[in-house]
Amino acid sequence: MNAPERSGSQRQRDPAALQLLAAIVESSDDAIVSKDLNGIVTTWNKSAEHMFGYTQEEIVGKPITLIIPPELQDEEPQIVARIRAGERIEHFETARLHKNGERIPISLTISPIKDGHGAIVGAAKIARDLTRQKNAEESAFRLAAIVESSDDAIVSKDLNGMVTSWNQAAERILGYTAEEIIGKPITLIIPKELHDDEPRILKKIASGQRIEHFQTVRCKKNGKRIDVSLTISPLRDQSGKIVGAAKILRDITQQKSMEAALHMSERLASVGRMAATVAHEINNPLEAITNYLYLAKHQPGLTDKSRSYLDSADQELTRVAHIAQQTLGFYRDNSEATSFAASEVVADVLGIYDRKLKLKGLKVEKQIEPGLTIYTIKGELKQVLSNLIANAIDASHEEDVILVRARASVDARSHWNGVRITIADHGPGISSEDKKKVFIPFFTTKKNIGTGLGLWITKDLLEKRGGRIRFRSSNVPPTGTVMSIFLPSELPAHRTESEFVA
Amino acid sequence: MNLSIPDLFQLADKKAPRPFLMRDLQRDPSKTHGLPNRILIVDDECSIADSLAEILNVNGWDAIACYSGVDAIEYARKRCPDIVISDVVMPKLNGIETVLAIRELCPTAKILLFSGQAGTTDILREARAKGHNFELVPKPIHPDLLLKKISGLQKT
Repeated sequence: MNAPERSGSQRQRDPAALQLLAAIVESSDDAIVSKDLNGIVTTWNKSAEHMFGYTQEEIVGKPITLIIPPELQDEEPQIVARIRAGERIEHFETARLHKNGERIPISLTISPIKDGHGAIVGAAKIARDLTRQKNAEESAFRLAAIVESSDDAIVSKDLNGMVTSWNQAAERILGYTAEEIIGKPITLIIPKELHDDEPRILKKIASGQRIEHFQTVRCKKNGKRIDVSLTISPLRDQSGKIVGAAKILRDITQQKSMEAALHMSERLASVGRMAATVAHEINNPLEAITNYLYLAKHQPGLTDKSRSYLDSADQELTRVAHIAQQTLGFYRDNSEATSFAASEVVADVLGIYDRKLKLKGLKVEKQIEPGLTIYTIKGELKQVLSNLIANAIDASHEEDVILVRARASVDARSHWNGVRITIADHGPGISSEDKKKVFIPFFTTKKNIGTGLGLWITKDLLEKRGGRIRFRSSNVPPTGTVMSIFLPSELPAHRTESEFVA
Repeated sequence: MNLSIPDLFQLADKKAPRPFLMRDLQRDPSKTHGLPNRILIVDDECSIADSLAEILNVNGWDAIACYSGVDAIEYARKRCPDIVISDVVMPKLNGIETVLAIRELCPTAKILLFSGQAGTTDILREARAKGHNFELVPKPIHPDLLLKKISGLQKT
């Protein structure tokens, strides 16, 4: 090593000091090399050997450009020019080549070397290997990006339950921004009645345990509750000490409601199967009884009393048969679409609800234009009107009036001639939030008695037959809901029935 | 009541009335339809097939009750019915299979199906897809309505 001899030549140094400097250079973790102004390597320490793979013997006397990647060769003349000008270059981040061709990210500090007269004769270069630092930075960056782009809320808290980080998904799912909540207690998002959970969670975490897929409820900033699945793991510092908890929170509200919908449709399917079986078991004996009653009634020599008993029995039987048909085999009407009078179906359906209407003291105001014909499957229209009238009855206050109107109409969209039937109630109306959902299956505001299928089926049945449904509703006085359906009067010539059914 | 001797004699001269038959009451000439049409009723529930046959008979038709599709086809092979009224869901041969077989034997026979359940839809849709369109009436059907339907069928 001769660098210290040269650089130190301006001031007189005792040999012991020079030796010490040489030892420091040799034992440094950073590569320390020197070169002359032509770029020829003049010294090369142990770390340089290690970092770049060349031994001192191999490289001293060779150009420094050996370790400069081809595309960075331009750097060298620039560096030399600055050194010549007496400048020092500090912490210049670049890359150099290992003997085996591998690129090494490094930080360079280069200073001019002056001779005893102060003339610049070369450069001393300190290179620090940045590989590990770069890798650490990159992986930290990548992790941060993963956390930020996650669909699940990822948050961390310390062992006192104070929030320490909060990703974008957390902002979206829970409504608090990171600025708002970092430094605040995590209990902000825990419903009051579940606050006891938190110390238990923290205790588990502090003992190094993990909590996986814990389904619970959390609160959004606006107070709305959401179903979540939580996975919480302990966070450790470099020494392995637990300093907090990382929490992954998944919003499973939708999943829950889908599960509920699935459950409901399974229930409906089993109800449907049951109805079909019960229908068979009930309708066949009813058929036999009807026949026997008929025969009994037509026996000669019946007393008036017997005849009146049989008449009553026949009437009651008709009622049972009607109810069985309404409840057990109504929706699945397999007859074909026909033309028939609107007034007839309206009267039929109102007849079914006669008792319900009377019970609530409701009056029905009918405005049915005479001579209206509708082309559809009668059973289906009955189902549609039943749903709408049942809804109107449920919504009405006692002693209210329900308006049922039918008039000739032309559909604005299809320009088909048809009949518009309107059913209006003076009930409390539909909130604007609910208005968007009334045709969605399983949406209901009648918690215990509603299936949430009525209007969905109604819409489906109408659209299958080229019809439409629309409604207006107001929940501010005067309140009420007006449901209005359109059905064509005849099968439009250019469309076949199968198109509707498809 | 005091009857004089001649009255008693007069009574004794009268023929003893034969037992009453319902068709005496019901099958009056105004209600017949020319030659009585033969109606085949098929239902695996005997009570339904029997009672219906009786109702049709008292109303001037010539109705026969069968309790299975096989029996009905067997009967039709011997004598063609004018009208077939059949249940749909039956063990072994269902109503559609039965009436299709009868139609092969008796092309002019009119067909009416009746069923007590909504599950029939699938069987019927299948038949419709193959080009067989049948009228289906739901059970229970009131005899008055059924009689009207049958009269309608006969006229077509």
